[in-house]
Amino acid sequence: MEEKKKKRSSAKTLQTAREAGYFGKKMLARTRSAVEAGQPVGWAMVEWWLGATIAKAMGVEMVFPENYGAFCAASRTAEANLDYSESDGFPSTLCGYARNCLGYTRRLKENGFVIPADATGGGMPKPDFLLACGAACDARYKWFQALGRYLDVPVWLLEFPQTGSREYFLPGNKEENIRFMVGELRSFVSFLESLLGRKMDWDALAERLDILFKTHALAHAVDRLRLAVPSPAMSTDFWALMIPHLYLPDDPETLAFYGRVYDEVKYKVDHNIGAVPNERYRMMFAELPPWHTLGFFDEVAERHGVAFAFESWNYHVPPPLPAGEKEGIGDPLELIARYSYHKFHHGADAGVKYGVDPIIFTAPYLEYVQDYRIDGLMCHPLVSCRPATYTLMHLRNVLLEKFKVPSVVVEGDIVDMRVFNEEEAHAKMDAFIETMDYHRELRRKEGLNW
Amino acid sequence: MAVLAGLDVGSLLAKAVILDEAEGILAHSVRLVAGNFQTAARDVLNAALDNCGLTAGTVASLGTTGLGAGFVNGPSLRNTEISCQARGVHYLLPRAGSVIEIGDQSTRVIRLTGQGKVADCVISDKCAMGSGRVLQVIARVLRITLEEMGGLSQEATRPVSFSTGCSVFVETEVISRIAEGAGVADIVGGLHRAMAVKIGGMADKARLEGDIAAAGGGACDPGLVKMLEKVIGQKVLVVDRPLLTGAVGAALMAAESRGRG
Ligand code: SF4
Repeated sequence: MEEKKKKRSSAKTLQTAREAGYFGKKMLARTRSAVEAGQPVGWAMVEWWLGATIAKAMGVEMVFPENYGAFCAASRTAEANLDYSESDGFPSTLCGYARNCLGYTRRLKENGFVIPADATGGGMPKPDFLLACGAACDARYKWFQALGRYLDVPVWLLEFPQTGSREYFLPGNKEENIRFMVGELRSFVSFLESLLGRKMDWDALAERLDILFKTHALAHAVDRLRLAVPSPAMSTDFWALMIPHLYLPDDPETLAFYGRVYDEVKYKVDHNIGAVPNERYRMMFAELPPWHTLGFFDEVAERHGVAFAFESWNYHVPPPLPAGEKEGIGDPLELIARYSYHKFHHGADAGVKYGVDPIIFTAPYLEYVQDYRIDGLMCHPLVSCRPATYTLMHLRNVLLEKFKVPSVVVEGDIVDMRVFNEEEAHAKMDAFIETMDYHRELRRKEGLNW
Repeated sequence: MAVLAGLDVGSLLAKAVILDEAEGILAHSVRLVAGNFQTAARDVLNAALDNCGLTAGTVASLGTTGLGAGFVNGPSLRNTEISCQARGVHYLLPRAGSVIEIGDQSTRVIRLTGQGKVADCVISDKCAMGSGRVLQVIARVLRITLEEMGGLSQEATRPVSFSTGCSVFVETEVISRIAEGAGVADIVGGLHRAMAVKIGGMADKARLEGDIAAAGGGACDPGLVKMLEKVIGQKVLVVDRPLLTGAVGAALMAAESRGRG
């Protein structure tokens, strides 16, 4: 039993995925070195490539508490932070990333803003400002504000307009949103200029963007390689590989790394090497994973020949911007706005075609399920995250109705392992194999070609 | 004569069946686990064999399922409770298109394929309110037996309406309602209604089809079954020997895999 409890991280199937954790540690180490060198440091939410790249172009080192939450969960050190935030009055139903961050920051403050010696991964240093983002979620509006209990630093919130499927196509709607976002970004640049007492380095920003687009193009190409049967990589590989493309996409080292990821996955596809020997089922995972127990997916693969072939819309780079949309755009802020807007709305066509909303967390899956020839969806409703949960039952119904693809629901949490019952999850998966077999038959009868 | 054996070792009860493929169930036995899965599994299987005058040597295959299945000694084939329930109900009541199995720890709502496999399944969340456990808790508070509950519930004239879906709070609420003078029948009726609403929600999610069968310990409670019928709006058929469905399924699945092997 003890033995079992220890093995909870995933072994991963790609060599590059096994190496990707380096980037998370590098990010943390860089912010700590920056503080020692008297350079500014910021904490940012995952804000889909708007603000962190801009701040970095102005010489700020950035670190991401959401990533830190996943890091703590994966190394099974989050509980102390969760308990510490709960003992200060934050409810256990609040976002796990937020609770981990609030507990950590409370300890940081109580330690005179010296990082506690036992902090996971060396810890996050005290920031000079906080960059929040309203995209997708309510907790993200309040979480950094609530940090004001422990930190006396400015918070900047980047607003993010999100549109319904049909509204996306209303005349003028998109351009109006882009104008709004560019305005938001300009205000953010002014804020940084006055905080840091220096001007924006536009060349540095253009350079970073160039690297970011190249990294993302490779990340997207890897996603497309994963269409292959057998699947060359697993979701557990992706959740490691996403760290560099999500948090350090504008770093030359990330770009070089993604070249290697591409080569490794391409080799496997060319040589018909599957991530799971004897792949029998292809599953998809929605939406945020149980970071504390990723070894679960390895066991499911081993027991049933299940390849988790695709996953987590939220973490994937969008398809590249259509050429026409990039052409003639000289203002890097407009380019960022267009790209970010594209990330949130590239599923609009599918949304309209299948009559579903919201676009985020829902519509893209309707394409993935066909492209990746998916036999079943694993839904992971989170006790502490409404945005990545409230769409799941809807998605489950739509996939069943339109594509005869069934789902298995396994409740849990991203950070809080106390609410994940692994035995029960396995019991559900064991029975779900029959369900996938049955629906394969149904798809065949209905002329669906997988 | 070679027979099939099935063991369902649950959190509360251990159940064993001895099956003959041509003749059906030859014998069965049910006993309390009483904190020791291993002993309960061994004893219940021996008792079932005794009941039909057979010995362990005549068992061609042994299938196991349930929380305590890992504690069964000797060669056996373990299967998930959901699949075993599906097979067992299909065997005992072939016309059933769906199953509601109300166990001690959880409730499972299963849509069946024509072969008794799992077309879809919804399992109750961790709260005991959706499982048979809450019936035991409240029976203790009301100082009645589980067997008495079914009859009492059907006598309810004004079933108590519980303001919570949580079994811990229901217990406190029951105590408050007793203090306010609510009758036992109305409390039991209200409890059955609250459970039926919870299970009805699961039935909706699983999109039940065809005849609905009830199994598990909860199916032995006619008050709960009646309430379920009201909430779901359809007749619920109680499987013959509802406690044995898991064990029957385990026996059949072990035989299936022996056939494949
Ligand atoms: S989307 Fe969910 S996980 Fe992310 S910040 Fe919001 S509540 Fe937390």
